[in-house]
Amino acid sequence: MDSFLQNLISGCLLGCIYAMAALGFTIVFNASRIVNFANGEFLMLGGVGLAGVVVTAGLPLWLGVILAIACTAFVGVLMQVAFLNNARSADELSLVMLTIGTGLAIRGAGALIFGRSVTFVPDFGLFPMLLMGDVYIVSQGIWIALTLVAVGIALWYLFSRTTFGKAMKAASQEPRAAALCGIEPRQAAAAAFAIAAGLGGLAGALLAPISAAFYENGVFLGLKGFAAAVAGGMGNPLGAVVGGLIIGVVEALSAGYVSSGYKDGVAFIILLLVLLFRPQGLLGGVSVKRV
Amino acid sequence: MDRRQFLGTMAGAAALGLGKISFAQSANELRLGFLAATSGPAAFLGASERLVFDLMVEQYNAAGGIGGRKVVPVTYDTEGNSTVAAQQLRRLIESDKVDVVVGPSTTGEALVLRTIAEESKIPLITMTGTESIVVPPTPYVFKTAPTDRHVSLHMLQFAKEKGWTNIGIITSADGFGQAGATYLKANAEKLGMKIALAEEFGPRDTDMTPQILRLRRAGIQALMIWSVNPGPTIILRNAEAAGFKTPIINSFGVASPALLEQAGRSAENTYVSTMRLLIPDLLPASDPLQPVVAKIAKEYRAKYNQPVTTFVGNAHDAVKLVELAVKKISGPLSRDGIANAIKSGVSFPGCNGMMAYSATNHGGQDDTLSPVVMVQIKNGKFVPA
Amino acid sequence: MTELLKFQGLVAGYGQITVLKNLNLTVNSGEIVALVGANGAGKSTLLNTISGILPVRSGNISFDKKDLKGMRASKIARLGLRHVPEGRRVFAELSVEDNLRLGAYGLGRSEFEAGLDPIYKMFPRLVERRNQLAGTMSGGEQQMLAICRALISKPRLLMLDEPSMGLAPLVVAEIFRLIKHMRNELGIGILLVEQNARAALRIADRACVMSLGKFELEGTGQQLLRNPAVAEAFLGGNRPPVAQAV
Repeated sequence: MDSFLQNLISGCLLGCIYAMAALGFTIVFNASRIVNFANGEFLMLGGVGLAGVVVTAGLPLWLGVILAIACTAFVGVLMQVAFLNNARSADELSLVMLTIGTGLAIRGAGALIFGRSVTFVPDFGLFPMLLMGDVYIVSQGIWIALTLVAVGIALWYLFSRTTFGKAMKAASQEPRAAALCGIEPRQAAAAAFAIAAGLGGLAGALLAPISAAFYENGVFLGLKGFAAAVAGGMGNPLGAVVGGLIIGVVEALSAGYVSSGYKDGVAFIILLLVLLFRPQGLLGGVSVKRV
Repeated sequence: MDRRQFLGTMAGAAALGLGKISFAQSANELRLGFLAATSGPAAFLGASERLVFDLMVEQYNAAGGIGGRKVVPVTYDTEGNSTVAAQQLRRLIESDKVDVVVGPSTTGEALVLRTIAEESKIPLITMTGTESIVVPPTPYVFKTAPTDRHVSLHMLQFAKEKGWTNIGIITSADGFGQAGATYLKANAEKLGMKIALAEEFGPRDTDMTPQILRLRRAGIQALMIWSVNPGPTIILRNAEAAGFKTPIINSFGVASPALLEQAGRSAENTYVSTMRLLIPDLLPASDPLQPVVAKIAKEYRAKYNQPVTTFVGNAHDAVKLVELAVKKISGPLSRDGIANAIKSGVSFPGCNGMMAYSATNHGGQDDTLSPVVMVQIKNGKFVPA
Repeated sequence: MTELLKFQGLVAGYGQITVLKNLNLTVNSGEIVALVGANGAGKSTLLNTISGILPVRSGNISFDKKDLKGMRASKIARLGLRHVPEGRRVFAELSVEDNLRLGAYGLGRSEFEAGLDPIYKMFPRLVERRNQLAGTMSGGEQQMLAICRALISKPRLLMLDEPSMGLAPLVVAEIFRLIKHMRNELGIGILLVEQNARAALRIADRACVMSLGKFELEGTGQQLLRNPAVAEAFLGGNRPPVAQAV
């Protein structure tokens, strides 16, 4: 029982990271109707950026986290403004291809700037490790869980309580009508990229003390985040969180009780089953078009 | 200059060039090629190998060369890319006319270069630890690094001596980890030990708590980890958090001071099976390899003012092999001559073991002495176990 | 009456195709200018060009003496020139009140709330549905919402593209009453594109008949209503289109 609970906790914490990656996909998808396959690289960048600033340059951790988030958000905006906005073809498929290319470029730049070493960042600290009998939550895990809660509340507030958040929604639904209301759709899209990328940077920074920061991390984090976003229902933020948690927990349980070799497979089998039987995702969203 | 004059000049230059090469060939010198990734993801191997190569070449030439032959080094960076490596090996063979090549240091490159070396009949002394490169032996290819077989056997024998015969293993789901798992399982059977549970993890996984919990339930006496970082560090941290008290033995995949830095407290009291160069100053005087390891470590640190890596031994032993083979040749040097000299028997204490190259042993290490030693982490330092 | 919108020699189009060919027009405050013409005459293209959705190829265009050429649609909207596009284009997944809030995007909260009152007074039905998703309302309600979304920003010029399309006669009548109200009581200048040419010409102060990207006829609403060519082409006649008749 203890180890079941422990696996569950372990899966939830991993799921929190997947959820933040999935939220990045969701926010960008909602703003611009494209799946941003460079999203995983934002998490990578947050991690290696934090490692570079804190471990290599020796700056304080809190400043490192802020810098990591800010730089990643800046990269996100740059990606939207410099590449996607200026793309000759506004065709969704070619824009998605463009995000894949940008992702590769970000990975290369990450390796070039921050090096190819595997770096662990110190724990954020503050919280002690939580022990309940034999079951425990590591200090960094508490940070991750609380951050996801805070991010969830902040996003909910942004999109359902602020005019700017609603304007972003509007710009994605009816870009022309939004422009005719005085909303600049490009600004809204850039803001969405900034939020998604900043969130990715935050998730990457949170993960860096647990697993290492490494320039190749973006690929698998991106895939898990994408799977979570689709499983939960593309475009549905709550779905992204639920999807992330489910994939994290199922992975941990299958590693704990089936075979650790198959756990990645299990996550993608869930994705396949969801796409087969509930193409709109578990919580509903836009069904994924066949391209 | 008209066309005819120009062509004439070119021809003259070509003739001069050829003359120079033939002059160089006939002179008493050893043209020594070196190929390794000094940039790119495999640079952590190639960079220090290149440094020790340069160091040794400089030493030979300062002492009047090898057996009176001046050493002319030709070095290229493969970037860890086997296509690049293949082009550069051809360049070494055809344009640079080297007599023997040291390198490369990754298995992927070595598998490609082996074919070219055999076709071109040039001795290739790889710095890899892949057994299949030299088993069965082919006429021109050799290696210096210890193999997975050596290390897995060493880890298991160490455990057996401690009385731990019920073993759990956790390996990464990549080429390195899978090879490790295969050898650990095969050798455990030979030694009459039991692998009670074999766990895997993805090379980019971030949390191995579920595997640790399974291993805890399995009632094992020792856990063996076979992977390169970051996996082992995450496992050590998860194990510490989960209160996993079973002894842990890591493979040579993490044998570097980076482990101490990254895993910190959670690495305390765990073991690592490593090449001797991880602890050049702590080897007992009774160790037959102690003099050679201590010497190269001292020279390397003096010249470059940076800590020595375990990979230094791979290049050191390769260059040493070339030296001893060349010294056996009295007449003019040839590629075949060097390959035959090695196969006729070259033995020396290297950094990576007691080397005994012969017609049947192209891997180097003999079976009398383990090429690796066991160290334990005590108070944040590696000490002999 | 002050001059609001003015363009001279306006040329615009899509890609290789030039749709608008050398158009001149002025719209003043407090007047309704109707644009009538067959499908494909370029009426919607003209509105899209004025509101900045399509770029101006050549010619001069100004609003309130400000040059609109090269200006982005969002900026033009903030100048007080509002375009209610064809097909209403309400934000279907947002509530009615949020749609109105975004109509006043860029204005402060107090200005928005002050603007909301008169609109809710005019359309009590919108009050009932303020928290309903806009996409779930009837076509007529959505059209009202689309107009109100523009109106709440207190525009000086409003461009309406086919406001009566697909709506029941009673609703159409209500919309035309609203248009007159905006001119008479609020002093807004209105550029009206309508399929229902008779209704449009009846309330219009001035009107243009558009065909193949050109203004074929101009005059007051009454003049054009009486023009036999217009009558035949748009008001139920059976002769060939006006371009050939003129």
